[in-house]
Order: sequence, then structure tokens, then C-alpha cells
Amino acid sequence: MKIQPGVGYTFDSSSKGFTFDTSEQFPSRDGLGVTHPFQVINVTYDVAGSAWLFQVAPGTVNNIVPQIDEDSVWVLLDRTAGGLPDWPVSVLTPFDASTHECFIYLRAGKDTTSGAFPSADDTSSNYPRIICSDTALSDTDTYGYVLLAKATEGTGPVCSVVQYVTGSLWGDRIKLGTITASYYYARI
Amino acid sequence: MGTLIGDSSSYSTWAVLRTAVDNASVGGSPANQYAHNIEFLKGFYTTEGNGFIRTTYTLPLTFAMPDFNLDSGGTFWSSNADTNFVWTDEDKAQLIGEDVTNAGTTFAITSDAFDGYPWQITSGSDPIYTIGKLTAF
Repeated sequence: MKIQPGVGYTFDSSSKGFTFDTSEQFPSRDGLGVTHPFQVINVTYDVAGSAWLFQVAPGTVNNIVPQIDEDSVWVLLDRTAGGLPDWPVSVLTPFDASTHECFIYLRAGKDTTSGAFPSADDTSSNYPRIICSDTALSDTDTYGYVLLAKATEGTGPVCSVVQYVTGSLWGDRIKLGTITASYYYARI
Repeated sequence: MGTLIGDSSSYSTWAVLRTAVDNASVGGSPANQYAHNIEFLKGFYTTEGNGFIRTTYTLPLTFAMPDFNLDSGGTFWSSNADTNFVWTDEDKAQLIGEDVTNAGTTFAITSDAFDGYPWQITSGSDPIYTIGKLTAF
């Protein structure tokens, strides 16, 4: 019998027999170079600007593609150029001076004209947008926040990312009287 | 052709099956409804938990909100509770026996309030101020 090498297992053979190791049966998503919606990717240090840059893979909230800040312009996450993906690059800032953490949120608010959630007016601050904060943010009547990921900066420079949201979302806003609105999301 | 989830307010998160309880003894619209956004204007929320009543299944785009009403003659009822299925049996069981304070007196909710005409006959009078296990807003 002849056994060939393959994906997902290793094979050892000796005069006493042979063994399979299938502990890596399912390669990780990262290992395959596959991204999921709202995944924080390509975190790189810009030496010239002394800043961390990052991208967020396109996703949707209630079928709306959010924006992210690129050079002080709000740009759709799924931007293309010449028919090819040209996802915007944003600056990962600010980091908390003590914890060295930066929270990456999806922020969305209701449309001030139609009342719909989220706003579909891409010129409005209530339109879904990816924002960064050095503190944890709480929902308000104006904005609901979903923590997509958290970045932690170390010396070196190094930066690690913990991803919390791994897919597109749909959500609802509920407000009871004068109590601060609540926002509920489900991953799709 | 399939229906894209999230494209309308039907079948989205569990929030579409959660609601406040309208205080129908007080005039005015109970809520403003928008796509994926509802703002309850008056009524009650649950004192425990997340504040919302979990309604039973409703048809897409059909909004069903439970209510309590009390008229000047003392009749206390939850509109169409016997036909709209907006209350779960568990919620009704929680509310039966709870005190209702109102302009006239205080009385306890009985199953008659959910079971259709002639509803629950009390010595109370509108409006309702408080209901046990619920918080007015």
C-alpha cells in the first residue's frame, strides 16, 4: 500500500509501521487566507506616520454596507477600483495610554427623516460607520455600538487583534419612553 | 425568489417579537413604528429582565402589542387577548394575581381580563397607574 501526503494530515512511516496525525484536519480560516465580514485585516505599522493602519472586510448591517474613515473621507467598505476590490485603509487610533487598547466599533443610528434603523443616508453620521475608540462605548438614543474587534498595541511595534463579530448583521432598535434606546443584533 | 432576511422589519432579530405593554387607559398612540425601529411612547415594561414582553408568533409585518385597559365603569381587560395571541401563557400566568392601582382603588388581575367579554369587572376607574411586575413609563 502506498500513502501519499495530503492536506489535513501528516504521515510517518517506519519499519514498525506507519501513523497518521490528523490534528490539523481542518485548516484555520486565517491559514487559507479567507476573510469574513467585518474582519479586521492587514494591521500594519506605518513608520512614516507612526501609526497603525488597518482594513475591515466588507459586511452589511440590515443589508447596508458601512463606511470607514480613509484620509478624513467616509468610504464604503466594499469600494472597488477598475472592477477590483479597493478596500479603504484607515488609521487605528486612539489607543488607551494605560491599557494600550483600541476598540473597533460598528456605529449606527436611526434615520432622522424616515426613522428607519440604521440610516440609509450615507452623508449622515447616523449611517453605519466603523469607528475606533480608546474606551468602551455605551449605546445612546442617537447611536448603537457593536464591538467588532479590539486591538492591543505593544512595543516593537506589535499589535494584536481579538475579533468578536464574524459575520454580517441585522438589527433592531427599541426605545421605551425616555429610557435610552436598546439595540439588538443577530449575525447572518 | 427568496426573501432576504433583514430587508424589511419582518423576521429579523428576536426584537420584533418583543414589546412593551400599552396602557390603553391613557389616550394617545402607544408607539411610533419605523423600519427596524420602534419607539414605545407609553405603557409598561417588565420590572425584571430586559423590560420586554415576548409575544407569540405574529405574521410578518403585523405588529401586535398587548395592552391593559380600564374604563370608568370598572371593566378591566386586555384587548383581543383571547384572539390575538399576543400574550404567552407564561406571561398571563405571571400577571394573574398582580395588583392594579388606578384612580379608584386597587384590585388583582384575574383570568377574566384575558378571556373575552364581559372581561373582568372591578370597582376601579381609569386610568391605570401601576401594575405589579410591570413598571410604568
